[in-house]
Amino acid sequence: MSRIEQLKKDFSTTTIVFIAIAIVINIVVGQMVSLLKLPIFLDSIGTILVGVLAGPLAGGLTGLLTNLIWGIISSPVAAAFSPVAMVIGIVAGLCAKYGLFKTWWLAIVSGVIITVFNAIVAVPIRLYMFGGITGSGADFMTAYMLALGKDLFGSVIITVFTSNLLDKVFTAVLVWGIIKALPLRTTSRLSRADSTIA
Amino acid sequence: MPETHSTLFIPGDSRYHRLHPFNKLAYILLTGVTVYLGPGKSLAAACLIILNAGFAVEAAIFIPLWRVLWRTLLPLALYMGIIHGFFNPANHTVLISLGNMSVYQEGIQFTFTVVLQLSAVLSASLLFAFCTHPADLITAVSQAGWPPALAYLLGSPLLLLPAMRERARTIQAAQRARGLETHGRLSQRFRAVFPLITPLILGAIVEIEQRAIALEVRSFNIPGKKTSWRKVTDSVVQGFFRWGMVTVIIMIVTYRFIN
Amino acid sequence: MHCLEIDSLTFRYPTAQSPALKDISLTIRKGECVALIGANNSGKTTLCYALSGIVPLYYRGEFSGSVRVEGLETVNQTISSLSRHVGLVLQHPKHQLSGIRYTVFEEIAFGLENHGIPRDNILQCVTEALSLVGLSDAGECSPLELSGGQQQRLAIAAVLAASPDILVLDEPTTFLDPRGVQSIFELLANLKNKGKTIVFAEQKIEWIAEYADRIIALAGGEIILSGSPTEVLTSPILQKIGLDWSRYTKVADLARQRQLWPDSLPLPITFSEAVAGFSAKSPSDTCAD
Repeated sequence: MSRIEQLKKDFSTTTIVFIAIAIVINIVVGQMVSLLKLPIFLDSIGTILVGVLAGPLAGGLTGLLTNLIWGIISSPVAAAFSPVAMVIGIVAGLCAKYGLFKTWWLAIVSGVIITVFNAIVAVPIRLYMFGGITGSGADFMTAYMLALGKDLFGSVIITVFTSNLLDKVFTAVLVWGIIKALPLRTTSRLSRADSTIA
Repeated sequence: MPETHSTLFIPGDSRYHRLHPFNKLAYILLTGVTVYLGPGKSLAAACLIILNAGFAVEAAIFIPLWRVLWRTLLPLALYMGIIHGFFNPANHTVLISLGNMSVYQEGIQFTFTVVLQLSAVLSASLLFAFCTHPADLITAVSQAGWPPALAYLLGSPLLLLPAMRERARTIQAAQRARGLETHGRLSQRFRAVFPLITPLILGAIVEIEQRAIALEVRSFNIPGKKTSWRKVTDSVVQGFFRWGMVTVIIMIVTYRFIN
Repeated sequence: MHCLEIDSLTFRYPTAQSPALKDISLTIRKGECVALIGANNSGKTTLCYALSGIVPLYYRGEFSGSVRVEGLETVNQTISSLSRHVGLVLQHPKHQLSGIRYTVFEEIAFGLENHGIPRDNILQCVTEALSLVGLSDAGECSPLELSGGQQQRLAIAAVLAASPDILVLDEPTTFLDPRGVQSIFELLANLKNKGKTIVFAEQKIEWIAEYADRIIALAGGEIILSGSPTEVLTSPILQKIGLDWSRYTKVADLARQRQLWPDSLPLPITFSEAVAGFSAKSPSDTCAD
């Protein structure tokens, strides 16, 4: 298949609606989970779902647009992190492409990989735009490490990695489970390749 | 209108409201590039903040804008002030001594600069969000000849949101009625995640095909020129300013690269 | 003249074990109003999809036989080009909203904009479509503010804007309240009077009896019965395929066993037929007790 054809297939009307629905899922699930006061956010569950089923490009677009739309719904701060959300979708899509969503324990591995890339992109934004601060409890970790004499970059990267690890691993496993629960009829329409699902 | 609208948009008929959406977007970008990459960071940021305050007054959204701004920035500024004031690696000039800890000037200065930069970008972004009807953004995107998929992806989540929130509330109520514990111990709250979100997600995914069919029978995503009923006003002057802003953005970025 | 012709159509969805439609042959005349009935998974929806080209253009499964819409072979068309000949309305009113238009007027204009129709013509087409479905006063409302019945009429207006002569509706009243159901059936009768050909899948037997010219009963992807409303809706086969007679038919059937229903009349399918039958028989029989 040529690249253009693949692109067309990747962005069929069904895929586009899937992305739109996934954006809304990110927002609504994120709000639902925030009410439970857990150390996870699940606000990238739709992004990872699209990445796994519809490919890295579609996944990246889902993440990017989720945060831009968050920006006009509640707070523009979210829009600043849209590159991070985009990378989450892209990496999830690539993980799935290489078979890393076939079993629940491979999904855990994907979750870790996603966390690494999440940190790589999020840290510069945190540092240069927000002075390394998130405005959440995780900042105490940054403060503690700075007090131990670590530099700002190192402190923020460790904070971002650890505060996201549980969330991304949990999300990845949840996505694996959701795909398992979907009827074959639906997944076959939404996915671009059979290789992503076991 | 909380049920049909879910954005920060506040209706109005000011000049800022009537600006072409792309101009307002370009202005956000210009602000960001100026305060983070341009010369004279704090001063430029301070000037832009004053300018944005003026725009906000003109658009009659100063109070709501101010409210969002300080609610967002106050916690950030406090955390930042504490962390950098005490622990910033560049700290060496003591401002105040508190026992064996000290607040340093460098950290406070750093905080001050970052908060100024953020205020400038945030206020420009809020001006866009408060003064742009989402439909105008969608129309501008399709009138500019961008793919219909992009207009759809920018616009449809906003109108899908109320229905999905409604469904989330229904699921929450139903699961609580069945005895689901959403305020208990940590492990209970973790377990509450599954029954709350899986029905929501599965239900939303199953309706994708119907929505896609409904779009296809109305010729969404077909190639060829499209028309637009809704009109977004544009003018030569606005176009000139738009490209002017883009040019300045490119200039600042190149300046940064050279230095 | 036949405007819809199906010839030995068999279709299987890509991931399904067995075909959803088996060897369907069917012709529908211009101006006819045909109801499709059948239990869940009987093939009603798939038949609606086949008539509007969704099968096999959106669902590309195993397709054999032919479907012609106003002489056009659907396999060789696009969904978009077919939309000018046949309009498809789906079950759920909300799922048919474009999601990117903020007023009812713009929602209807959406399809026309995609076809690149000039603004003047859009104004004319949308105004006509609005008045046809009785939403002329709601043009500037948000689609999300409308009731279910109004949203479904909006969905009908949105496909009618492309001025197709045929309308296919897949269980359009499932999610509506009684008033909404009534408004949809009245609209269908009105559209039929304007010369539109209408095919609709429906579960509500009593309404079908009032409005359809012909009824086709499906089971297991095959046509089991086809004929006038009276023929189909009083057939004993109906119960075997998981459907039921209307309460009027059932009551009259019991009455007939007790000689309370005139033998000269067929079993009734509507309220007025039942009234007519019972009043023809009643005077002597009520005295006999």
